[in-house]
Amino acid sequence: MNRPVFMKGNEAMAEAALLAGCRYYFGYPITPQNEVPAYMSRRMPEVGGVFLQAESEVAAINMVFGAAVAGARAMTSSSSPGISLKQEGISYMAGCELPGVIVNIVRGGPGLGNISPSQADYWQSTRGGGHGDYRTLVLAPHTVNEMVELTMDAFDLADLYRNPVLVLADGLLGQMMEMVRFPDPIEQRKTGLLRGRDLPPQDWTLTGCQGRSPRLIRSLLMKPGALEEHNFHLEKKYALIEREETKAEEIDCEDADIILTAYGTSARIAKSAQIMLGEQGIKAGIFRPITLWPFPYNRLAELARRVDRFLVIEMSLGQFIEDVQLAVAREKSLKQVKIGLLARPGGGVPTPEEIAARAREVLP
Amino acid sequence: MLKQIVIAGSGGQGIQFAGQFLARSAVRQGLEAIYVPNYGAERRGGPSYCSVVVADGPIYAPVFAQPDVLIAFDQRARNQYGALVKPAGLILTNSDLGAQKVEGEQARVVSIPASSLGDEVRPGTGFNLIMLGAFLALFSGIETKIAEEVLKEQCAKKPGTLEVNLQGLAKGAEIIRQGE
Repeated sequence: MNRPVFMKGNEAMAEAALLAGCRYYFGYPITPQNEVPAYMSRRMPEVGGVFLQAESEVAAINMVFGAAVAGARAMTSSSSPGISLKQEGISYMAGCELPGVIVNIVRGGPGLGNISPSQADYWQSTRGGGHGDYRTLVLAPHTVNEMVELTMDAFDLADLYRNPVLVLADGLLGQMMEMVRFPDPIEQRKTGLLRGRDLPPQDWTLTGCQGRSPRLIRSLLMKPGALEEHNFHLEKKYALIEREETKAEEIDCEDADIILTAYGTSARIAKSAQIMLGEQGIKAGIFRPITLWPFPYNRLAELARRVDRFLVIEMSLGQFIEDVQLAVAREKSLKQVKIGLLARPGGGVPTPEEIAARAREVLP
Repeated sequence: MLKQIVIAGSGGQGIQFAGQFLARSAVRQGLEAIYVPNYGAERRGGPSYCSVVVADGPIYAPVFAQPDVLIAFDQRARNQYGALVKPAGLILTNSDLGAQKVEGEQARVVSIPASSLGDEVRPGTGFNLIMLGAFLALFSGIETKIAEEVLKEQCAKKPGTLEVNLQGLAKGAEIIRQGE
């Protein structure tokens, strides 16, 4: 399947999951991600997998939980309100250290909001969403091609760390059609986020204990001190993920007059603005986090030593900018650096012209 | 070269089919292309819209403030988008359903009687491919043979529609060539 094909983001992601060996998909319909379950309902039977339309989002995430307990690669997808419903299950999976892939094709909020593209689930995605001290890896593609690669990587990272992984896109990426090349899965494991590392043995799955001692998977730890110990164990894992998995794309940042900082759809629009600004004689760089958790704080802080103008572009009302500020503040006082914000909430999508105009305002 | 194209009209006129067809044809021609539909609340008769970006290099932004080209299937679409088109751009309209000039329109307007031409092919079959045939004749970056190939693939699920669509495509191109 190496010939490039013209495909919709949602469908490409579903195919990528199959390529990564996902054989269990559980979901419940919601716009703008309906092409994911629709595609899975057709393709899963063809590859001998299971497609199940659950009775609710809550049921779907708990089915992923169940499949993960048994050692299977499983996925669910939804859009913002549906992802809110899944948070309890995600917290349980994080507590039980279970792998699993959750796709969020974000739409406008809060509440039922609208079906337009949005990035307003940034806090929910990167700060937990559910209850308790836990983290989920968050991968943020900005093209249909990258949706494919990061979806494949998501399954590997989930297994590597026994942790849920969230792929965060939006209605625009989900609905648009673009050329995509499906990588060979073996090749992707070498060149993608897994970087050729071996996956750990599944010596924890519940597969029937005939001939071995029983195993137990649970998040309820009532013995005095047991939960605190478990939390410290998780903290070590999260620290390792922060060290090993942080990733960002950088274009012309080192000697930029201003760095345009954005992820996902906002970042690809910022790339057009960068070209526009270049034509006007302004050197703009692009800093695009690919992992939102772990966030590339250190690299952005390094850049703040050289560059003192930033423009944050987000399709939300000042969520992502907090991480940019946290990063910059590691190196400089926020009084020494100007960080502008172009925020488009509620389904608004910025144009390159808008970004270029705002960048000029941030410049001296 | 980078062309930002809006195709707009009403649900049931085959806007999304036309947009996908244009983007697929561009890609088959070796160009870069993206197609962005409107989605979720489609209904027959309601406004329908899609955007297509075609370029000979990488395409980043899938959104834009001012299109280079508007292909307006009816007056409502022309009213909504006509004035947004860049002054050096192109507005292709269906004179049967959208002949009225809109205030603020600065781009060159090419009008073809697409609905009547569609009825000449076969009454009641629509005119989306007439519009696209005309656009491809004006754009000239995509070969007819390639467009026909893509159309064949896109009609594979409903083979009965291929012949009228091919005829529509040819008729749309023909009316432009006659005018030149």
